[in-house]
Amino acid sequence: MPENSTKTVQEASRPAARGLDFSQDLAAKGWYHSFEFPDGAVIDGYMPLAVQKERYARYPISDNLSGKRVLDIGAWDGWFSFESERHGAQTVAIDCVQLPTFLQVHRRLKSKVDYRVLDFYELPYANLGTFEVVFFLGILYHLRHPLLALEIVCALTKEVAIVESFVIDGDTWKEHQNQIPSMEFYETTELGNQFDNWNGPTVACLLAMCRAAGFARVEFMYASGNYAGAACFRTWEPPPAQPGSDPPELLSVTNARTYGNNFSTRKSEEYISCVFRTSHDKVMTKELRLEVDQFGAAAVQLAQEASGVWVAAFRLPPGLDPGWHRVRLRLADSGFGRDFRIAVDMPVNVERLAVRDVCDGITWVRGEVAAGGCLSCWVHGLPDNCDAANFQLVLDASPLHISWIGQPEPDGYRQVNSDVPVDLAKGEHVFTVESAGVKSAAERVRVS
Amino acid sequence: MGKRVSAAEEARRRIDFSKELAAKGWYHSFELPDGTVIDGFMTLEQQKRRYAQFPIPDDLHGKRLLDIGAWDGWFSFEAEWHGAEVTAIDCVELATFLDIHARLRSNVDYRILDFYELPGAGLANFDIVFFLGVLYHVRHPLLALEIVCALTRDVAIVDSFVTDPDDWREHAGEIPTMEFYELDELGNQFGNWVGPTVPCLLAMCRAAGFARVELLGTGAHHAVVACYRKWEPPPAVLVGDAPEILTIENARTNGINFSTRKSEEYLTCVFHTGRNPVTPEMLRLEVGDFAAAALFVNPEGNAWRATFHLPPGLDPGWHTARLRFRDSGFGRECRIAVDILPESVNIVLKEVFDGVTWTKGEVQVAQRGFLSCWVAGLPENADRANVRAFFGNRRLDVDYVGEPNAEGYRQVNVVVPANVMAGEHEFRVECAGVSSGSVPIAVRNQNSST
Repeated sequence: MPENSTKTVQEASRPAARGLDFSQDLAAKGWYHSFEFPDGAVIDGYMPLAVQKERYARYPISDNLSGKRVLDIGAWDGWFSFESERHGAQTVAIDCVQLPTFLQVHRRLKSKVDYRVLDFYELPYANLGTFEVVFFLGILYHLRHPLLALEIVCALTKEVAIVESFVIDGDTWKEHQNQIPSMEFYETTELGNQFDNWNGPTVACLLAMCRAAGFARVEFMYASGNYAGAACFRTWEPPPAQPGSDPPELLSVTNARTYGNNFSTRKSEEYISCVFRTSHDKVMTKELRLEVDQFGAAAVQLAQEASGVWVAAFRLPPGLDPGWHRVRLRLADSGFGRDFRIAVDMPVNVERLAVRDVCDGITWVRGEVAAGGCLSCWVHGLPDNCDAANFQLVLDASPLHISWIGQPEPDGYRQVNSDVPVDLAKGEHVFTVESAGVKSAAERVRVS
Repeated sequence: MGKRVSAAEEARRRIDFSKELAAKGWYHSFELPDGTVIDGFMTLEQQKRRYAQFPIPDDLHGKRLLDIGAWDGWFSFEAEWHGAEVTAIDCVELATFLDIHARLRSNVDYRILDFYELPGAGLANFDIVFFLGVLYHVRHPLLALEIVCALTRDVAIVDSFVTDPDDWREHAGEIPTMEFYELDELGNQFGNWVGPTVPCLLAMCRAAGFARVELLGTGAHHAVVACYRKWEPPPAVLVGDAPEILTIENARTNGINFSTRKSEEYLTCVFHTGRNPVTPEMLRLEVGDFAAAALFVNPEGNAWRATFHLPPGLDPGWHTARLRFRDSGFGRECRIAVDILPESVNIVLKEVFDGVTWTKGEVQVAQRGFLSCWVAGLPENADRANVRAFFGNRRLDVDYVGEPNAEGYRQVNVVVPANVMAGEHEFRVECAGVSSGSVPIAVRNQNSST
């Protein structure tokens, strides 16, 4: 990067924090972005063309964007939209108001950029599909709910989102890297005398929020003056060509909240819990590479149990469509182990439930179980995505703790094991299986 | 990596009561009618002292109360004991809550909901909302407070972890801040997301849309705030003149329609008054049952323009907006439409005049021109933003939509910009996807005809 253009960036972002008010400069220019048209005409906006080009050049995106969809959120006059289109992308630009300046450039360039006026929080419902590349440039601090905004951006992104934001410590952030990240909250016009600025994160806080939103990898791009930028990736870097270690042996993949294999994207926080074994003596969270389909998920927690197995929790990646998804785990220097699958936002469809062979799980005596022991039975009609959280084995009115669910056998029945409470009254009990409002015929079970 | 840990981070990590809680098994303490005492992490005295601090009546009969994140439920059951009809929600079903519920034969309606599922849960709203010790556990604190505000009719009690309960006055003049906990930085617990300062907590409560926000007190690591949806009662004797209301409109569209689906919707009120200066603190706006605080007020010609939050939680339909000063009665009431889709079957354009010379069928344009026309069939909630006027395909600005006359016609004024070419243009009016027939209008443009 040429040194003189680095200076231009700093010039453009020099105004002191919180005093930062460029409204008069902007009003005098009439344009925020600068433009250079094919016919040689130039529009001199508040932001110099050199700064725009330098910013664009920093983004870790391909020079050739043919076949890629790009979303530019809060496009303003649209330079970044039109630039990505020039690089071959199929671009959608959104803004909260329709700007005549954008439309003017759109006409002059005979652009095909799809320009839409939407409130930011309407984005998830606008049926825009997903985008390989999302530009989220200078918008975050205008939003009342920054982490929610980043979750929405993440869910719309397939490969990388470029997040640039106002920050309060662009020049000094390295000095307090060991402190807890924080952000300023602007109730009214505290920032730049403007009404629609809501938060001012530190650089560390910006990066932490991007990670918390669900991106697999967040790479710091730059910080200078009142601005910082991060590249937020949905995928892991490619696995090493020559694995340096054996893949981890994944033992189970469950919802950390329900212990089942169903996940709901409507819950505000949903985590995947993975139990695995590895030949490594020591593992760190940053070495774990979980994938849900093509999306990477970062580990937030890792512990080794006394038995030697490791238990890690990962954020459920935002933006998964309803249905089955493949989950697999590797280490930074290994290939992937076996696949598991999880069900996302899938309904629990049950028409009819049938039970056979209710028995003591240890002695296999039918119709009898021991208090404090184990009850086994075979159940027909459970849905493909059944888990311990969406159906129940019930003795009289008490649901039993389900300890194991087998795969369907050739006749469609699944074996289900459960624990029988120690304090259960001895004698005859009514046993049913219940799921999604459907109940099996009652069986009699004697507790001894 | 050997990251050094700051003093602040160490202090946050020490706020970890998980072991004490696990040892006790209960968070809340209880004293049951049969004399049984449950000794939880929080003492009965602390609970009673907190409850006594809340500015709510002793007798809660006829009041609906929502307890968000009820945990073992002491505050729910206490409110029920005071006569309230209580709904308690939590994100997981707690056996401890159910145990007390059964032992007290309580009628508290206990529901398991994710916090963000609250607006869609069909719960209606509540006179009183308890939002105790939950704010810092949610990822989107301001959104959470908006949701709480929309569910509250009278007062919400917001109790939250804060980072500066003892020394917040020392930095009260600075910009409010909050800490962000990506992982388990606070109390070694996942599930803690934000740590606001006391001023930040108060600022967020105001920004969420509560009309009045009062700090009730601070204690170990926390602060308690009363957030009101209504103004204090007006003085018995109204000494000041009421504001003379010119318009009350949407700050974004200049119309009378408002959308609760927009993330930020503001209402502006333009009024005359003999008072000078006028400050936000002097103004008392009410929309329906809810009060709204002024964010700023500026002189505009010989009038004043004040901007307010649209109060959260307004039902779809028409609402009355009215403004008074702290010491005056209300000025003229205006109506606003919330979340009403404009609907029209047939739009009839009667007569079109030059709005200055009143010549029929033409308009003189110098700097700009004005057209006045009379239109029937516009929806009741027609306004400057949803009535659209056209010369051919070119959209013109609508700057006034009048009330219907006896025959149902409404005056609509339209601005004709200077760069419209002289000659004949097909003029028409559109609303709710329905267009009137078009009428030829002769544009006499002094710029292009000379």
